[in-house]
Amino acid sequence: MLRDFHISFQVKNAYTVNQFIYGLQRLPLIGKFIPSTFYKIKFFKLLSFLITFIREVIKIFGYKLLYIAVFLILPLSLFKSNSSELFMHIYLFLAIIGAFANTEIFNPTKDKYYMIVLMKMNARNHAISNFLYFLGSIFVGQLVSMLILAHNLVPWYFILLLCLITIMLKFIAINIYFYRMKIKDEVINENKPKSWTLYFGLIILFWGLAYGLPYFNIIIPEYVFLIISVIIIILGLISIKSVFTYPNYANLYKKLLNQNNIFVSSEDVQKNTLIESNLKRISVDTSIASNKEGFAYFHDLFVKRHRKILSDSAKKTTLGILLVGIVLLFVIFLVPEAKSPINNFIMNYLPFILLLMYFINTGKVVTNAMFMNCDHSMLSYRFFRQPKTLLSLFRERLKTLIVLNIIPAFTMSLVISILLALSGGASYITYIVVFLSIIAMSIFFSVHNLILYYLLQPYNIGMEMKSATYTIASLVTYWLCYYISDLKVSSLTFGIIMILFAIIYSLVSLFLVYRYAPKTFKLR
Amino acid sequence: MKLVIKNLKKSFEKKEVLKDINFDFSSGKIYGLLGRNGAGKTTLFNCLNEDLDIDAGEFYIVDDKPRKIESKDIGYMLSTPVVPEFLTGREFLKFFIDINKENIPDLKSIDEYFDLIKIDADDRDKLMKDYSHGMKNKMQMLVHIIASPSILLLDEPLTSFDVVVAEEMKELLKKLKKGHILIFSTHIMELALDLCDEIVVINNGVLESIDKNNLNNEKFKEKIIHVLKGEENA
Repeated sequence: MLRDFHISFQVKNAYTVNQFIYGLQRLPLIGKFIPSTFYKIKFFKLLSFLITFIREVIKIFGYKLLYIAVFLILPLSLFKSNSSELFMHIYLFLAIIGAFANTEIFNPTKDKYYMIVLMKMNARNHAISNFLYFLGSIFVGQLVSMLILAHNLVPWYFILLLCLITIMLKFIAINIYFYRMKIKDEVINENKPKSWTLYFGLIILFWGLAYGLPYFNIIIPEYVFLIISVIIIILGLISIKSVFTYPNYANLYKKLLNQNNIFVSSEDVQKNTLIESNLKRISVDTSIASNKEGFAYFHDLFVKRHRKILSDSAKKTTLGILLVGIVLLFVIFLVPEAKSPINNFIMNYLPFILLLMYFINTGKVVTNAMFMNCDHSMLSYRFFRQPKTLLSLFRERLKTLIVLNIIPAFTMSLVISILLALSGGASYITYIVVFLSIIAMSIFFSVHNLILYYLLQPYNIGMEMKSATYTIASLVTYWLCYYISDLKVSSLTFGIIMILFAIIYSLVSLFLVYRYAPKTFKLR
Repeated sequence: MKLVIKNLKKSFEKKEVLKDINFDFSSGKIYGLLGRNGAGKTTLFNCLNEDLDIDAGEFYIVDDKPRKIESKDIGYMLSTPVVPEFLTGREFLKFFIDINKENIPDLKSIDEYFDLIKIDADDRDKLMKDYSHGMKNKMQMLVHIIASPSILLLDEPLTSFDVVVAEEMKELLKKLKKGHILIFSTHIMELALDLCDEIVVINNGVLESIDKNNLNNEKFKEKIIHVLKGEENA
């Protein structure tokens, strides 16, 4: 059994280092300089041993220290108490939750999958050796943590007792799970309870018992606690045997270790859900048709079949803006004192609207759908990548994106102008500038999102986002908007700058797209 | 017409996948490109289709005189079919024909094209997201047949078809080869021997033609396997 544990430890070690190198290779800039030969370098095995070791130490001591501090020491200080009875009371109920929620045996992990399913290790040996390690780490971790944090609250022999009942409760919980599996013929997965309501209900119940009862001054007295401990230890001792002699580990893991339980977020599964969720966005309405030609036809059908994510979201945003506008209108009529701050806001906080426009622009969602449902397949056709073709579709798309986003922007401009007029008015020129600058912002974001997509086409054929430049560009955009939203500048000045900027930016970026997109817009 | 490849080289990191590719492909023939896993078949196709930049060398078409390969000259059919799934089969064809009208020789009606690859009338107006793998593959093949590029690269194209459709597609390819260069990569030797006029092996980063020289099929197979194993001169 020791050998099995050693082997499973080595395997874990091996893929920790492989994951580490794999991760390094995918880093922007540095990644290119990490050759695949790194996988065989001994030094990294040592490094991974170190990582595993540190990780284990953090798991054993760090988490436990945090746990004792947050769930026991902190509540005790809130109760303004330093009674050992209260400490043990809370600990007991938390230990019961922990026993059922975290058994190790019923936790489907990648380690178990690799060792038992792929490498055909004896299921019982693997389960028990790892379970013993798990118990040992809990015992040592809790003991040390409590001795450090609670030695002046609870006598050491009680701390030892608490650690012991933690272990015993685990055995009891596992035994109860075995029993449930036997009578109900189902597989227990501690991460996927049959009923989440029951699961959280029980957790809340026990939290209530742990923290609620003391609130009403009901605390388990020491002698009762001792009786409960004795019962737990007796039941625990009885359960130990059946955990060690349970005959069906192989069968249990065969069922528990299916791929869905383990690789919930593996790339393949993610990719498939991504593809599926995108395909679901395609409308199946058979009456959809188009009488256009060529690219206009192709694009028209794309827009019509993706109405849900395109025009529907624009409609919702428009409606939202109208609602907020109406509410503010009521505020102006009902609370005359609000007029001045509203007027002041519009006159001085136009930069803030920029951040708002950043969030309501649908460019990112739309370009994502364009890639997933259209360009991902079409880019593998040569004719689609011909400069003339590419640019004529770009034009169609730009038109659509601008029109889609200009509806909410126009509504916003209108609402703000009305609010401005009713809250005290402004100069003639301010109206025009505020109105136009919001439209300019909308156009700017539409152009910006689409040209980023065309110039940096960030996805690869596996639909993963691969471009660090794209990520950085997106972050910078957000950061700039955020930074600007905080600027103290009058709306008139900002509006004029915004309009000019939008015009210049659009012209420059269109030039760049026409010049470079035929080269940059391809599958990675 | 000829496709001429001269001293083509391509490496990834330090691995030289294509060391020195030299070959003349002639029109009217189907070439079977054989190579072991990782030998560089797909890399070669990606280079010819300009999806990958080459490190050195050149390739061009020789009609009467040498000229650069243009987009319309080359078609590349991927082993996993990719079609725009938000369109129906008919819409895809209409769009494709709209765009490529000037380059399509003897244009037929959309239904005639569907008949050619035997897609049922019921399926023609369904969204392609509901098409089976094989049907998507047929659509992809059809688009290339319509465009009729001088050079058609086919990466494992028949593996997803059932036996009946695979036979139909083979017949189609045989019809198509007149005036075209078809380069067909596959792992299935029987398919290569059955369909292709010439067998070309990619091994150790170089391309070589295997002469049949009056050998019977069994002997020829043995010879190919020898080359694939790198034992030709052993």
